[in-house]
Amino acid sequence: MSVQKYSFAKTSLSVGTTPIPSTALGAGVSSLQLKLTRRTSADATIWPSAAVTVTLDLQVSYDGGVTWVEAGKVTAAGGLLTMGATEIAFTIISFRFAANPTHVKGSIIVAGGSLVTAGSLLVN
Amino acid sequence: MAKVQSTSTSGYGVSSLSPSLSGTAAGNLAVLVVIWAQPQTGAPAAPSGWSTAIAPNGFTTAAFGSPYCTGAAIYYKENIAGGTLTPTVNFVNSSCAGWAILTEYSGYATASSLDQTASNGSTSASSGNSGTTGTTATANELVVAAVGCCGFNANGANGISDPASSGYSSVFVNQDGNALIPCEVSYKEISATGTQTASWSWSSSGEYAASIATFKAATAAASIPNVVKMINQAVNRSRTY
Repeated sequence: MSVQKYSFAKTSLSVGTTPIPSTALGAGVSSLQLKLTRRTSADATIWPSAAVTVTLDLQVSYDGGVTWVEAGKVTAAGGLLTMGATEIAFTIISFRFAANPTHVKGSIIVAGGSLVTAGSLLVN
Repeated sequence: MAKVQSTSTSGYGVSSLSPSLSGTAAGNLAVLVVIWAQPQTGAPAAPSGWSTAIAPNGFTTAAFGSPYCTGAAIYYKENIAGGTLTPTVNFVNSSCAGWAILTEYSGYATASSLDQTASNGSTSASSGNSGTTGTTATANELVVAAVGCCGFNANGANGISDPASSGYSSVFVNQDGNALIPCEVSYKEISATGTQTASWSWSSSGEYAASIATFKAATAAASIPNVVKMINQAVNRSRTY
């Protein structure tokens, strides 16, 4: 399985649940990683508040989208994140699946306020 | 006794993780390993309905100054109901880096399965171990060992030995230290009593935290369904029509 990367430009996400439609995956996919930009000193407009959370809730199918099972859920909070003196400009959410799913779907849940972010999705 | 299946979720700058396994079998043992790095000490509480095998405070990361720390905890759930299993780990800090690795094992005790535990760590090392458990109570046990190391200060491949030494099989490894804390989880099934330990090495010096736990195997005498099945078989054999 070759790594596939999909990037999206800066966008606004409103409070609520945005469905991720059923999407076919290539053969041999075993993991998925979502990377979102977050607040830095240089750009305080991006996902600025720790009170604003983003949850990625995923389901996967191993039979072509006929039946679905939970793959997991991860919640991340915004705001300035530092490691010592280093500012971390992104949040990463990742899933490693128990087997190789054929399809993925789910939802992105924004709570606590709207946010602006950009990012990328890595499928491997 | 066997490892059945495993999955994981992770994040960087996250507040909670919920890995999910589907198709689990009733009566099996589920083990949840959580590796974390966060700007304060303190292991996350056990997920609702789960028990803590060992969850020590983390070790302060020298590279980023106190109180930044890395930790490794092991939680478990005996006699799972079967179906979908989705424990949720809520970190002490809302912007944590962590992994939650969920694994299902078969053939282990459905009650009082936890036997021995140990943990170890350092603020600066390029190899380490889990500490050594006390002597296991029974011969046949599951040993689960996990390490998290050198969070954030490695570039790319971290070179953690995988599986742990010695005699272990790998459950999970993340070698990428660019964003997600490098970590490794191993297991083995032992057939004799004794003390247990696990050791690892990695490529760059930094903090690490490791934990180990052992779980007793199911015993035939404790399996009431098997006894009932045997009685039913005997009754059926003695019937005359």
